[in-house]
Amino acid sequence: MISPDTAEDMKKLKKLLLQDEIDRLNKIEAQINDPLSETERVSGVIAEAVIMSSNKNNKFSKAIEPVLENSLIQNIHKQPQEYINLLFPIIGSTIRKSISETLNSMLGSFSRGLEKSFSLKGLKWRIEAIRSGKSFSEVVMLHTLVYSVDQVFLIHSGTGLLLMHVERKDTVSKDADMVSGMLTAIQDFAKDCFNKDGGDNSLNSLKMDTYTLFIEQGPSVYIACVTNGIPPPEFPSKLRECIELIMAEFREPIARFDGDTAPFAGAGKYLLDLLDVKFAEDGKNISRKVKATPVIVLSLLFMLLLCKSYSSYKMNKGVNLIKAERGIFLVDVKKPWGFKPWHILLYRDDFALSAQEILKNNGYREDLLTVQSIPFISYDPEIVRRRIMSKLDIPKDAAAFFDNGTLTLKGSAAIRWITDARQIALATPGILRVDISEIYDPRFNELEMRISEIEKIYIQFPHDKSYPVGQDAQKLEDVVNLLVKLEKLAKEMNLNVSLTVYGHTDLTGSIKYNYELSQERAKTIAYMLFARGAHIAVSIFGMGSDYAENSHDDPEKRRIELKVTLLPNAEKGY
Amino acid sequence: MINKKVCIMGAFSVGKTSLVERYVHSIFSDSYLSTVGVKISKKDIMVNNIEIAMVLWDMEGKDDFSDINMTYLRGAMGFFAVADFTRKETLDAALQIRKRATELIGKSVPNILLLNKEDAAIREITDAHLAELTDSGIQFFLTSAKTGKNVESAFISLADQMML
Ligand SMILES: Nc1nc2c(ncn2[C@@H]2O[C@H](COP(=O)(O)OP(=O)(O)OP(=O)(O)O)[C@@H](O)[C@H]2O)c(=O)[nH]1
Ligand SMILES: [Mg+2]
Repeated sequence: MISPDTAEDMKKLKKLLLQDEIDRLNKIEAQINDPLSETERVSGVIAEAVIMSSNKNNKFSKAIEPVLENSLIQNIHKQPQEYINLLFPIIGSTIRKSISETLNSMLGSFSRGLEKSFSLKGLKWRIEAIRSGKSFSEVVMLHTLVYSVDQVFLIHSGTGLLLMHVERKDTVSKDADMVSGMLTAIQDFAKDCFNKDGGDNSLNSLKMDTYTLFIEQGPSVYIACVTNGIPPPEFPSKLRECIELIMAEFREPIARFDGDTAPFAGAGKYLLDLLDVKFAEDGKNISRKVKATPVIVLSLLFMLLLCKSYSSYKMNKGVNLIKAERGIFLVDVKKPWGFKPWHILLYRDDFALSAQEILKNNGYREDLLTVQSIPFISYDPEIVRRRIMSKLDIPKDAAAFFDNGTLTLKGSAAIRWITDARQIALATPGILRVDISEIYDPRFNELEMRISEIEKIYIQFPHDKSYPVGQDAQKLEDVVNLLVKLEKLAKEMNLNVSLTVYGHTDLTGSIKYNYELSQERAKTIAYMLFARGAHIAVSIFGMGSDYAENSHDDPEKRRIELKVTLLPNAEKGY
Repeated sequence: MINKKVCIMGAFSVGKTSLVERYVHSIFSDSYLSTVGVKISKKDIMVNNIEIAMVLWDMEGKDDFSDINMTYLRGAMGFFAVADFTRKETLDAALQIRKRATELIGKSVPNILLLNKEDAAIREITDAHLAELTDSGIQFFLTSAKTGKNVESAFISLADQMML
C-alpha cells in the first residue's frame, strides 16, 4: 500500500532519480512553444535536408524551381548591372581557359626550342634546374620573362576615340589620342582588307622589336596594351578580365558615348591593374632602347604600308617623283579601288623624261602607274636649257649658259657656229636674249695678223713708171704668199677675201696724168698678183697725187697701198 | 575631356592635309605628298569654356566617290568636305561626298564645305557657283591653307556646332 507519505516519498524519489530528464523535458516544451528558437533549430538542418531530398529524388528541386526562376527574372529586371557583373567573369573564364590552353601549348614549344639550344648560360640554367628540382623550361622562363606593361589604352571602337589611358611614369609617349585614332584606323583597315565577308578576324597583336601591342576586343570598346619583353602566359587573360570588368561597369556610358570621356575616369583603376603586372624574377629590366609608343606608331605605319598600302605607297612615291620632274605638269590622278594601278594624266614637254623613264630610273616598274600624256611646251628653265642644248652642237672650247631668259655663249668657237647658234637660240621657245660678247673665234686673231702683214707692205715705183722693179717687184711674191694663206684661212671661216689696190703718184705732172698713172700702177699690181696665183677679187683705185705733199720727188708717194676686206660667204647665206 | 572625331574628305590634292597642317601646326608647304589611307592628328580647343579635343582624320583623296570609305567615316561626329578653287570638278566631288557621307553616317552631323586655295589667281569656281551654294543653304568657308585665311574660323565653327 502506498501511504500519502509514500506518495510524497515517491515524488522525492522521482525527483531524485529523474530531475535531469524533467529539466530537459521542460526545456523542450519551452522550445517548442517559442517560434524563434524553433527557426534557429531548423536552420541548422535545412541545408542537409535539401541535399538529402535532392539526392533521393528531385521532388524538392522541382518544387522550388519555379519560385527561384521567378525571383531571378524579377531580380535581373531590377538590377541588370549586378547580374552582368556576375555573369561576365563566368562567361569570360570559359574563354580564358581555352586561350590559356593554346598558350600553354605555345610555351611548350618555346621551352622545347630552348632545351635544344646549347650555351654557357643554358648550361648554368640546366644546373640550376637540377639543383632546385624545377623543370628546365621553368628556370628558363624565370630568367627570360622580364617584361613590363608600358601603356594601356581604352578605346571606343566606333569612333576610335580614347576613353582612358594610363602609362608607366618613365614612358615617353606620343599623344595618346592620336595613337588611338591610328590604332582604330589600322584595325578598320585590316578588317577591310582581310575580312570583307564579316567573320571575326580583328587584329589582336603586333610585334616590333621587344615591344608587343596587344589588342583585346570587347563588345564596343577595346583595350590596346603596349608591353615590353615577353609577357607571362596569363597576361592575355588578364586583359580579357579587365575588359569584362570595364564592360560590366561602364556598359551604359559606353552605349551613350558622344565624345565626353568624363564618365570613364573610373576605368583607370582597371587599367592601372594591368600596368602593375610584373614578372621580372630577377628584378632587372630590358634596356629601353626605344620608347614604346613611337615604335608602336612606327610599326602601325609599317602595317599600313604592308597591305594594300605598300603598293599605294609605291604609287604615291611614283606620282611624286613624276610630279617633281621638270617639264611635267600633273593634271590628275585617279586612284581606283583595290590593287589596280593609279591612272595619271599629265602634260609633258618633249624634253622632259617620260613617266616610264622616271619610274624606271628610280627602281620602280614602268607599269606601276598608267599614264596618259599630252604634249606641251614647258618654259621651265631646265627644260628650255635642255631644248636649246639639244639643238646646239656645242664645240669643245665653247659653253652655253642659260639663265633668266638669256643664253650666254662663252669660250671660243668658229664664227660661223656663233652666228648660227645665235639665230637658232632666238627661234627657241623660252629664250629671250642671246649674249655673244664673251665668245670669239680664235682664228680672228690670225686673220687680223695676216691682214695687217699684208696691209703693211709698201710697193714703190720708179719715177713715172707703172711697174715696180727690183726689191719692190720681189715684194709682190710676199704679198701673193700672204694672200694665199689668208684666203685659205678665210675660206675655213666661211669668209670671202677681197683686196683693194690703191695707186698713188708724186706731185710732178698734171693732175690728170697723175691720176691715170696711179690707176695704171694699181692695175699692174692687180695683174701681177693674179699672174702669181692670188686668185681673189681685186678692186683697183687710182688716187692720183692726192696724198702727196710738198716735196716734188718723194719716192714714198710713188707707191700702191693694199687694203683687205673680208665678207661673209654669200652663197651659204647669213 | 570631350573628344570629337572629325573627318576631312575631298578630291585628290585639294589641300586637306595642308589645311590640317595649317590648323594644327600653323605651317604650310608647297610640296605635295599625297596621303595614303588616313592620317590622324589632334587639336585641343576651347568652346564655350569647355576644352575639347578634335581628333582629325585626314583621309586620302579619292576621285571616285562610290566607295568613300565607310570604315573610316564610322563614328564621325562632324566632317569637312573640301574643294579646290582652281578646279571646278572638285566642288562637284565635295558636294557628292557631303551627300554620301550624311547618308552613310545615318544622321545629320555638323559639316562644312571648304573652298580651299582661295589665294589662287586662277579660279574655276565663280561667284555664280558661290551664289548657288548660298541659295541651297550649304554652309561653306573660303579658305587658304597657304595664307591661313579662314582656316581657324572653319574649324572653330564646326567645333561649335558639334557641341550644340
Ligand atoms: N596656293 C595654294 N596651294 C595649296 C593650298 N592648300 C594646299 N595647296 C597645295 O596643294 C597641293 C596639295 O595639297 P595637300 O594638302 O597635300 O592635298 P590633299 O588634299 O591632302 O591631297 P591627297 O592627300 O592626295 O588627297 C600641295 O602642293 C599644297 O602645297 C592653298 O590654300 N593655296
Ligand atoms: Mg592629304
